[in-house]
Amino acid sequence: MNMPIGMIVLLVVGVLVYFGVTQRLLDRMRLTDKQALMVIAAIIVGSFITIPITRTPSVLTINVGGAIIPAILAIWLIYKADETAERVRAVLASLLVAATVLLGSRYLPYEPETMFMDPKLIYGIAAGLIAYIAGRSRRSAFVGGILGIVFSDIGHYVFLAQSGISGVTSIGGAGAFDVVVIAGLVAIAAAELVGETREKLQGGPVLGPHRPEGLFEFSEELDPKSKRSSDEKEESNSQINRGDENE
Amino acid sequence: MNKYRLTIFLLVIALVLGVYACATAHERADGKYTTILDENGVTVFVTGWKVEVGDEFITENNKRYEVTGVNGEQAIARFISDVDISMYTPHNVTEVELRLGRLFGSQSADAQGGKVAIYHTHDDESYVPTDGAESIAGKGGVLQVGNVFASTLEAKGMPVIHSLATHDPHDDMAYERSRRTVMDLLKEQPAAIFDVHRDAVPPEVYKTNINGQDCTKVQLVVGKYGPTGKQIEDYALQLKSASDQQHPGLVKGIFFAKGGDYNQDLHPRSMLLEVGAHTNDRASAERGIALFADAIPTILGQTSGTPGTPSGTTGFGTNGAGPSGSSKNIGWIAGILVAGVAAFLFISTGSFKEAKGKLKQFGSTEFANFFGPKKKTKGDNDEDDTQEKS
Repeated sequence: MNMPIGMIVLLVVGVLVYFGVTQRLLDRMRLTDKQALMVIAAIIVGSFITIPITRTPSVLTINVGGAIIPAILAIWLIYKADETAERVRAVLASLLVAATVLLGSRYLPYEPETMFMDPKLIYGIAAGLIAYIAGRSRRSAFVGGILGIVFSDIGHYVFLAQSGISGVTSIGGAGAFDVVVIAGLVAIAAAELVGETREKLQGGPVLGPHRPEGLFEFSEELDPKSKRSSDEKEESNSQINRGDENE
Repeated sequence: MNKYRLTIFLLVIALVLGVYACATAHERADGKYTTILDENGVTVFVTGWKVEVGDEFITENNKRYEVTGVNGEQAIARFISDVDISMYTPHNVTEVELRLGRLFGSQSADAQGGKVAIYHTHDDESYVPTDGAESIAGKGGVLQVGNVFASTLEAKGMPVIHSLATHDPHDDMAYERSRRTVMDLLKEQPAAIFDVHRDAVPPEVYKTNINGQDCTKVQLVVGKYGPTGKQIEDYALQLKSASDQQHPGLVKGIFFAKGGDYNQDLHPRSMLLEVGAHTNDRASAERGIALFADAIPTILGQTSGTPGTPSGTTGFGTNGAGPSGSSKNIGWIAGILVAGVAAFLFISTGSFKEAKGKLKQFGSTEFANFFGPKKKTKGDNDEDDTQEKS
């Protein structure tokens, strides 16, 4: 394209920083550096593939990079969760995020002159906070951000189908730059910020006997002893265990 | 445990209700619009929606203002500066500039064919006098305005892709839905992309007469805080400058909106246009956009050989004009990245010593997965992998 080099460099810097930050954030989702890069590559390649699902009563399509791959990662994270309660919290957070997006999109200001914040950020931060409150977990925040937006898109499709408004629901249609992916990433970042701040305020994570080698003393960690076996135990330990599930 | 769950439940409900309440407070009041006065009480700008302190705009006469106070439907704005729009005027490049441009990768205008993409985030927007309603889902009058824009550009020999994709309902997520349309359009590699809207103010705000014909003005909207906002600002000034040269008074001004990037981050030449208001008739809006189309070939280098670059052919900036919007944005992105890393290190460690330790650890072990850890054998590397997964 006919563009001055300044514009081209800006685009290159923007894309590099975006995917660089994405890699650092995905790194926290039970992925190694290589796996995180592979997920990013898959999201980019998948951005060019859109699968039509139905044409009646309203058009519904889903993008591989913008929705299917992030959703698979989110579902895998739920599956790999250590305990049922964590899974329940992640799913609950996703549903709450979807409700927030559907309500928010209806009532938040929507004209350029009145919108106060980019919807991608609003819903990403909302997802991060909701999922963090529900599960105090960065992974749960990611799941909430990704699946919350996907669910809200499905809600949008149902709304269109019922109200007879012509419209297209293209879940994750903007690929790597879709609100699905960005909300998931912003959610991790928001949870990370809240989690790190809270840990700092409480004077660092609780230390346990099985601290993984290589983690610094200020890093969050998993303490198997603190795994909640019963409601009673959890209540009595809730003060002590606050730092346990922050990854 | 029950107490714990109850607390979570109450917090989430409070959050959802909070969003709801906050949102309702911002809900659009039909028929209301804001008149912005300068320090001397002279009306300088009228806009359809509630403005807030800190909003910026450039008027038809290239004066930049910032809103300093809002009182009901009136706002007071502070004059910031005159914008030297001549700096953004497309010019015929010299041979040296052309070579410099080629050296840095710019291709000739012919190579890309000057394809223009048009879409409508709010496809329901309509013109009451002619369309009968202000909002017609999926079939808004604004689509016809887009058609006229497309046919005028085609008549000038520019290929146009006009997307009639619908993004209803007209809500806060509409820009996220239209983002998907933009990504589809980008696969066609357009040289410029326009999101065509209409405003919501009284008819006289946009009504004008150019070359003896009644038409509506056009307002440009720039996403102030988008990652490429400054660069888009340059582009908006180029558009205004090119249009001002051909049809003075056609561009009503540039509004710098705070609420997002309006998908302008996806293409360096994307612009949101407000063509008239719902109170104007559609025919005059169609005439307005047809006149605005005259500026597009100039901007895309069809008539002047190269796009007007505000500060040098390379677009980085010149001594005289200062850094270009692209350079400013690169600076912002780099600055935010550094500040973000510093803030994260500070929050997570709290002391310079630990932050340094964490940085050192990052440098030595974090990329072990790519390159193999320093001073470690292959066997250790595999262990590192399993640890990182936890």
